[in-house]
Amino acid sequence: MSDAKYYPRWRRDVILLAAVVVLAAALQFSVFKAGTQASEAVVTAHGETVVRLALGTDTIYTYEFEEETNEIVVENGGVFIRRANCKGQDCVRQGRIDRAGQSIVCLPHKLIIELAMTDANEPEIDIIVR
Amino acid sequence: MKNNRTLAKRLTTQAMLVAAAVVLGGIERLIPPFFPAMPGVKIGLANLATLAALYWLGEIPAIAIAVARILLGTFLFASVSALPYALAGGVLAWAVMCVGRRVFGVPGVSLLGAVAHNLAQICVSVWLLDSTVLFMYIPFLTIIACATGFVLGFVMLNLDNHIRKTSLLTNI
Ligand SMILES: [Zn+2]
Repeated sequence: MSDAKYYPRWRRDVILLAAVVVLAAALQFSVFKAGTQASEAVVTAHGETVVRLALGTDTIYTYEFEEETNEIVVENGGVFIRRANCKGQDCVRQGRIDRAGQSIVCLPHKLIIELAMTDANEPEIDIIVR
Repeated sequence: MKNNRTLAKRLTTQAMLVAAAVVLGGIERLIPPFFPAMPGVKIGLANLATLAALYWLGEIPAIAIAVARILLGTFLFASVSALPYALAGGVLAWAVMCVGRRVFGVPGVSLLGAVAHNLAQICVSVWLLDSTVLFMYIPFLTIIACATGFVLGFVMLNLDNHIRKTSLLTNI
């Protein structure tokens, strides 16, 4: 096997690196429009919306499904998971979020907390077509 | 010519790569995830074995080694629930690297593998969680993968330089 076959193609590699980084950065800035204030937290589990929590009022919501629990705390306009009985505790470690578009994910419990703007134009999604 | 000696040597090299990859994966597990939302997203040390296998042994041995190290690593260190993520990541990274090496050098191929690995993991998460929120992480994770992938490409080049000074890869 000849070395020439895969000897570094520096120019191409550097161009690839630059191109991917620029593309990703552009995407990043177009997705996160400079931290708009969120107004509610949408809690979704197993693909279905469980509850919508207004960020204006401090509350504690305990999500329960079979043996799975996550204690969701709304405090000072932000959300975090204080306690959970999931493996890894990744959702607890993700900490507090307070900007629209941010989310906390608990993979083992298939739970997502997503921050959204309260938007009246949101399409109705609870029409079930059978 | 493939005689018995060559065959034995190939098998040994493959087994060695699998073992090395499992160890690397285990070491990586000790590092806390820098992105808690996606526990599967890491430096990608174990992907180094797929990369090495691709260049030293070929495409088919590379995927065999990738799958073997994922199965072993998952059953040794992780829970079965992590398997779909690891498999999707490993297989897509392999496929992308196979195509990529026709065009790019080792650092570029390694970068593509890392990016593909992350993308596959995000897609599996989206599928399992039934929510597209996680697509939001793609840009951020891609930038991280660029850095780790490129650096690991250099590690691979160095490794290759050293290994080729020995007789480990002759007649293989
Ligand atoms: Zn959790």
